[in-house]
Amino acid sequence: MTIAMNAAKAFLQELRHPRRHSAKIIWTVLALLLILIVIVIPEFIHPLNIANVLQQMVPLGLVAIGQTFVILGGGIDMSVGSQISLISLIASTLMTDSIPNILFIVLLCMSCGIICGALNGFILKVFPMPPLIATLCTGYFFQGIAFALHKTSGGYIPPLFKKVLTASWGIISVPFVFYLFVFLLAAFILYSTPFGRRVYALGGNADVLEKSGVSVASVKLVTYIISSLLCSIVGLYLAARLRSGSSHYGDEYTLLSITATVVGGTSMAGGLGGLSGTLAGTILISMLTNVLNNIAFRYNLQSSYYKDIITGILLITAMYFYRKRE
Amino acid sequence: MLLEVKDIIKSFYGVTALENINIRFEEGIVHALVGENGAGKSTLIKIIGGVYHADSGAILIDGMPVKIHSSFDALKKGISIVHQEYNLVRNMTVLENVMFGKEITGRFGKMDKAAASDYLQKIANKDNIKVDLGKYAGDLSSAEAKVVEILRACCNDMRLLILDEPTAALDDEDIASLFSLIRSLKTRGIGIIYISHRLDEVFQICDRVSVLKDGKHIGTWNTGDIDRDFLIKAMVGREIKDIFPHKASGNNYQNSVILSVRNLSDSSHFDNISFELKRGEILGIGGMSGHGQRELIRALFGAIRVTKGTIAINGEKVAIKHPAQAVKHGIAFLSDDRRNEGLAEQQSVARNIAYPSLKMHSRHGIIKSKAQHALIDDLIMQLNIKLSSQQEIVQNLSGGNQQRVVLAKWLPLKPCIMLFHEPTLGIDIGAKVEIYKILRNLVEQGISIIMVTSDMLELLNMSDRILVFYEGHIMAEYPGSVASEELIMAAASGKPFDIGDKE
Repeated sequence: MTIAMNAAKAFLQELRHPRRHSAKIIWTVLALLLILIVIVIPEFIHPLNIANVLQQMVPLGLVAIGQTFVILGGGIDMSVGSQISLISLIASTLMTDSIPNILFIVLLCMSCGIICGALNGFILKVFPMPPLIATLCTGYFFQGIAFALHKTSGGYIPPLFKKVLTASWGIISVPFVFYLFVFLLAAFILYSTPFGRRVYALGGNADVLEKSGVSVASVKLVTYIISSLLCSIVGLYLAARLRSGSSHYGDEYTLLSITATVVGGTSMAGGLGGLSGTLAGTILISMLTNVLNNIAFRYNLQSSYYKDIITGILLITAMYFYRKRE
Repeated sequence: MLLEVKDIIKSFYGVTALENINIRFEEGIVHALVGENGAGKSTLIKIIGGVYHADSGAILIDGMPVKIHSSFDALKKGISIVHQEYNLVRNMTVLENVMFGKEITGRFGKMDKAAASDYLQKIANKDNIKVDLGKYAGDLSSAEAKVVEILRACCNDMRLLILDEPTAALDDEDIASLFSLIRSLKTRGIGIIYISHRLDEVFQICDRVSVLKDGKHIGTWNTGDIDRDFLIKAMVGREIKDIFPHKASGNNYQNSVILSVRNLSDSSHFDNISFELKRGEILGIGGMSGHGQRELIRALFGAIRVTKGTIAINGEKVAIKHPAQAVKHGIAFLSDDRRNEGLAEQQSVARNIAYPSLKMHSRHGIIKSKAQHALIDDLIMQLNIKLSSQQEIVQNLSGGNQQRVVLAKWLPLKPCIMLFHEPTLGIDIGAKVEIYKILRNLVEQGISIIMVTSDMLELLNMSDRILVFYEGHIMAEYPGSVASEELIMAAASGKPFDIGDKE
């Protein structure tokens, strides 16, 4: 009994004053919230709804993984949203029904993603400027190209492409399995390879890295490329799911991916945090979105406004809550 | 001979930092580099470490001239520097910190922690280094962090290790274990350059000592052949020129105390500081930089939070938690960092001067520009600031004129206490004379001055009383008439002479 009490005390202590990164906080909050939601809206745990949430969280989850790499490295990628929109339009503009064409366009879109990320990394290497400004500018640049391709939404996506990318069997779906695979791969890279450790050092104290003879600029470059590559995959997925491209598909993902990362305990200053927190942050946001939609449907409200308001509040609360860590 | 610097010359913007430096550093020798602040030690180290490039001269390794292009290049040539400040990634383990750039990987690029740990353990055992490789760098004590940085240097096949003030944050026990590590490195034939302000350490651990002063190499001696007094003389021995105004012979203000500080402490920089400041007095604060003077003077101005102690002005206790409160109590502060803390560089002289006194010269929130203009003209005349017009941009002025603009900014508020941090930093000798005259004028008007300075001549010749700081404490207090360079240097390195002993 006393042991349990002490353990509980230590846990609460840890929650209040986390030493370094602790994803425990966000997972605890998530669990409590889930219990609350299930009590208030029992239909939330209906298998169909769970399958829905798991599929809904994939695009955000993928973007947030990339964002986590960038933020851990002391940067920020404000251009993710417009990259997603741009890629969705490139895909919908060029895709036809032939399978070789589909494969070619997929590769082309991913290459475009890599180029976008390389551009971000290159700009930051050549002109030392705040990454916030640099990526905000490239974001406008990408958005402009997207507008030039199509003012709103349109293009053509072959039914086969949609069928493959959104196939599902009960709770298991292609996008979710793909997400799990990317998540595990990213975790392996971040925690078990030299590159991953260098990302942490880049955000923690880049000077140390430089003096060890590691090229700081190239580590940074790769984090932005990872982010953009994942954006291009999300762009393809969204285009497939909605069978068109749009210059607005990506709009919400910039702030949402930053929120998921920061709510998950990754420090905006870099060098502190990790993917487990980002996963929890992603689930939290997707869960809240689902619940809001549910409530909105019941009372016949417009849910998207509330979602924006809640995202903003969530991000500020998380920043406030985590502010005192080193 | 391991490394030799030959006829090294380096200047910054026309100011000579190093003049024809010739020093040889040998294998298995601990070679101390000493000198006052600004003597050129760190410039020399940065040239050896590849951070700066010498204007002329050569660096020889094993007798062969080499070019050192960058700090990583220096590392590859076997030169490692352990800087005074902490240089580890806090949220990563010791193992990870040491292994950057030379990680050992297995299948799929997965890092092999066991192999890395074996490899490090082997290197650590050579010098009997004991360190917990799994500990986070942020959890290490200052002593452990130093050891980890030395261990990192050992991994680079180092031949020359440069230690910059390695004991600055260590206590006696840690210093002893650091010294045994240095001795172990020495027996392995590694050359060590040891930079320190603590002269007793120089005699304890170093075989040889070179003295730099004003960018010149004064000499190199074996520590066994000289004593402490000789070394201090070599470091400070210079003639005093005729640049300082005479001190007022008598005090016209009946020794009334204007400021009294009791047991003042902050979180970590200074501790239990007590002193009094009399009306019309210049109180000089000396000591090696980084021993709490900087923080103390900012604490008096409310820019740094104090944790303990009281400040009283004219016998009344006051709370100064913010610069605005300090200004209200008649305190003015002139920073050593004019660019960031003293001036809005891109703006005109007139605007800069007007900022603190805007309220005085406005009615109902609107500035009375005529009155202000007249006042600024008056100040410019009074302080003899050389300008084409009030609208001139501050950035274009010389250091001396900039400092006068900062002064002009405060004078309308009629301060009773003025805090100066390095009053003549970055100012040429002619302008210095002018600033010194102005300071004398101010105290003759009854203003009291506290002056933190690392310029020995300034400290000795301007101060009516001198406090010497060492590790956040007042190590000694001397009247201006008694103080000498030797006395101050000794106190500043932690071993004050008794004035009685000296005479």
